[in-house]
Amino acid sequence: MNPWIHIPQLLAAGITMGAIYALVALGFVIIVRASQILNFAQGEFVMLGGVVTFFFITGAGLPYPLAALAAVLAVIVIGFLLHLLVVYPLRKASVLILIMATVGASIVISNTSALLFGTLPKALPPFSGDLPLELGGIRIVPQNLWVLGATFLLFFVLYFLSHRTLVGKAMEASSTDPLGADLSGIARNFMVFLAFGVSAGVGAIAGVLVTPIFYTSYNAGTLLGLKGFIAAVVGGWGKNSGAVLGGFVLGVVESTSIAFIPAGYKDAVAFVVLLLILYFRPKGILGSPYIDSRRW
Amino acid sequence: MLRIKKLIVHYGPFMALNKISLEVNVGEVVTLVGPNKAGKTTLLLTLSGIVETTEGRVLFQDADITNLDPYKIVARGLGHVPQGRHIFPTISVFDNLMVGAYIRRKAKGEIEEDLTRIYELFPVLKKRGKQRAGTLSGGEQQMLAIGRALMGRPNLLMLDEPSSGLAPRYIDEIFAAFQELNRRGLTIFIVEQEIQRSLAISHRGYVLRNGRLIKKGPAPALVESREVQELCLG
Ligand SMILES: Nc1ncnc2c1ncn2[C@@H]1O[C@H](COP(=O)(O)OP(=O)(O)OP(=O)(O)O)[C@@H](O)[C@H]1O
Ligand SMILES: [Mg+2]
Repeated sequence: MNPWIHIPQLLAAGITMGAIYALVALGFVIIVRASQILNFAQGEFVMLGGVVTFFFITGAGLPYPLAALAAVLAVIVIGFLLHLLVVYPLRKASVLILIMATVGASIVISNTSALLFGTLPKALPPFSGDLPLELGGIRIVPQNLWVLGATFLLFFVLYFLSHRTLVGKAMEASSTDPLGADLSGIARNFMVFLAFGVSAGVGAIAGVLVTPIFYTSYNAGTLLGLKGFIAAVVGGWGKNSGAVLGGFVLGVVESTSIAFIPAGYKDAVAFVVLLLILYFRPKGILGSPYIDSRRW
Repeated sequence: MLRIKKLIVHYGPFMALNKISLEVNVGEVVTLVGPNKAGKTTLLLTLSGIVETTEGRVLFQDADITNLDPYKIVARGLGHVPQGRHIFPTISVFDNLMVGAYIRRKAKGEIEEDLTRIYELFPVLKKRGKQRAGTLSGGEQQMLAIGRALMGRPNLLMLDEPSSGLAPRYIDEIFAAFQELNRRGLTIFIVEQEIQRSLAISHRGYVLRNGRLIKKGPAPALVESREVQELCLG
């Protein structure tokens, strides 16, 4: 059978998944821009967004929109706590130790979620029905459009926050030159605290958006986190635009690969893409201000 | 204005500063000189709260600032232009200056005034305002580092080897700027390798060696001293 006939449909699925990777990647970028820390608990925020919304609907009986909002706020609080309980106490340690600590935190979060909310996969209803729309022969469920729209909206909000506000610039300053930031009177720890909150919020929103399409469960965060990290590296480390582009590239490549290789290898595709990029263009597609500025 | 009392600082087991006592009075320009690795940078970093004190006190404007968080020390009016400049390379020259004013970001009017003054002092910063700071030349980056510190409205400005690695015309320009700033009332504490030059605009000076102050006095007398003569010969 001709594999190419599936491409349009797979492309549509890939773009949706790419949007989610983009949001996870943006979460990484927010924290890196403030601190040089790689937060490997980023995927857990996404998982929690879905799981906690599910809990607020089924366990607490909240209406869907309110449950989603409450979940996002709850995850933001968890992001703040992650900073206060794990990152802040280790502020004098090396970045490598901090990164390992976020890996540890990620395990704790996912296991706590299993304990509190169970290990069964959880689904949320789509925001606006599940009647597929026909667009030029491709069937698209409306939730995909929600995902895309929200991703672009968030991208522009984050772009504005990080490049057009003084706090955003102070955050960037904190990571590109910590000593310079200290001597400019920036409370760097507070910048990182803020970044963890914003990043958790973005992750949770991604979780709320994606759970109606792909389900989620307590262990979904790890792989999502890794894919988001790969997306951020592929697009250009430390750049909002790189995160978004990398997310879409990864989603599309991964999804369309199913036409040519067995679907079971899908997850390996992301890592192959990462290796290729690291080999041929380590700065990522759009280039990276960090990798540039490190050279001198 | 600044009183350092018997300051001791360690890096692990290594004692980098040994009972340093030093004063800078309101309106003065004071220079600290010393050979490489004497501990000059360590002293300034300790005053700014970056390096931790083992023993001794730092008083600034009659308040004890020993081991305070760096941002709190900046907020009290102690500015610091670090060795190596440490400007923010990825954001624009203008944004570097704005980040320098971060602690008083609400005072829009003051910030405008300060910007105007800094542009008068270093016109190149206005001309290159939109450029990424990492693209500036060394001399321009030093001016930016000074401008950024001034945006915090310090009462006392500390500078760590501001002339290092600069072309002569930039050195002239920044030393002229220090004199002008001091004339306008800023107290200045300079660490320099350009010893003659720096002492020439100073009221007093200190010589640091192996973590100890080995000489102090009025600048003209210090220039003539054996300790400084030795340093100048290298
Ligand atoms: N972070 C550090 N950890 C350990 N030792 C350090 C550290 N920073 C400086 N030192 C040591 O402390 C001593 C003083 O260094 P410092 O940089 O303060 O000297 P300096 O007078 O500023 O020298 P220079 O003229 O080269 O700038 C040196 O022996 C140096 O090796
Ligand atoms: Mg030094």
